[in-house]
Amino acid sequence: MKLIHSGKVRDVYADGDDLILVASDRVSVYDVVLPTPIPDKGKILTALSLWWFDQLADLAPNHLISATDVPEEWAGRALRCQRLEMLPVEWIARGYLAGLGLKEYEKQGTVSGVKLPDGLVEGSKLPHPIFTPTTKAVEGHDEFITFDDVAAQIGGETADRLRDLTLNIYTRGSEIARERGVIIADTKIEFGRAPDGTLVLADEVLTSDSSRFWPADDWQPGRPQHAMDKQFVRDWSSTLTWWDRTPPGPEIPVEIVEATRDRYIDVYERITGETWR
Amino acid sequence: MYQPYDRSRFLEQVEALLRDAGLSPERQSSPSPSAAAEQLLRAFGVTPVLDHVSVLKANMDTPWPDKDV
Repeated sequence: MKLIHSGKVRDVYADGDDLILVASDRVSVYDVVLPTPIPDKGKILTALSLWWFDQLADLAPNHLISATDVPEEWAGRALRCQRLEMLPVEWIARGYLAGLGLKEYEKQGTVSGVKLPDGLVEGSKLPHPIFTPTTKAVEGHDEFITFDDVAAQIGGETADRLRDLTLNIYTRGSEIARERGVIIADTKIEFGRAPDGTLVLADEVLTSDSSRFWPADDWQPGRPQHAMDKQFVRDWSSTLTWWDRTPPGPEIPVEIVEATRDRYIDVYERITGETWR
Repeated sequence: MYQPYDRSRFLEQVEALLRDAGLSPERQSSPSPSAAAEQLLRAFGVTPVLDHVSVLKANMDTPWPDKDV
């Protein structure tokens, strides 16, 4: 088992041809990893990923090989995955206006070439989910591209299929979550090809690291929305006037750790309808 | 026929080729070297792809909601 990369909150190992993705309990704010872990965060997010893979299994195959054939020390928070050749596109679906989608709309009334109605504001629900692909830049920023750009890049048939798949995954996920009090405002999906050419859903799907989760009962267009899980940590850290938001980050007080853990569990339980063990 | 080739590797090889020719290539923000590499690969009937680990690294270092701001 070889450590290939240690990210802010997840690590990736190689085990022969397989990859092992390990979710940690680390949490980051303002791009800085804080020294205090959130107990069970890695297990909760891994369980949520697995639940989504199961819910979406009829739409697309995924890169998961096993959630149990992993070293004991990572039990419950690691996934053994197939290594893929990744498509160089960020497959993004948006149901609400936020982030770069909002900025692009305010500049020109479109996102990735998709014309949107006048009068939308931050957090507005869109008339229907839209596909807003971007480049996958190695350096610099990802840039919006149109569906035609994607088709030119990977072929019209594959582009058609993956656009529809992106929108279907978002639509199913957001409908399930909305019934349970969670708005999934938007999401980014990864696709790759297996050695036999099959198109496969990769990395995590519909988690808070790949999507915006908002509490439905707090949703109010016209202002920034609150993230469901990390908001306690964000709100607390924003009160720390002495911290310049560079490493090292501050220790998180026990009550904030507990409240944040409760939020992660709340999101998991709301979305899955299952009780966290 | 599906002929994949790693975009990042292709860019590095083109840079090496230019250096071998005595030039000093510098990646520009516009036009994007990544987009240009993809276009050239496609022009040869080759499908640009990315290494799985490099994509995971990017995702792990910057979760998408933090990038989309």
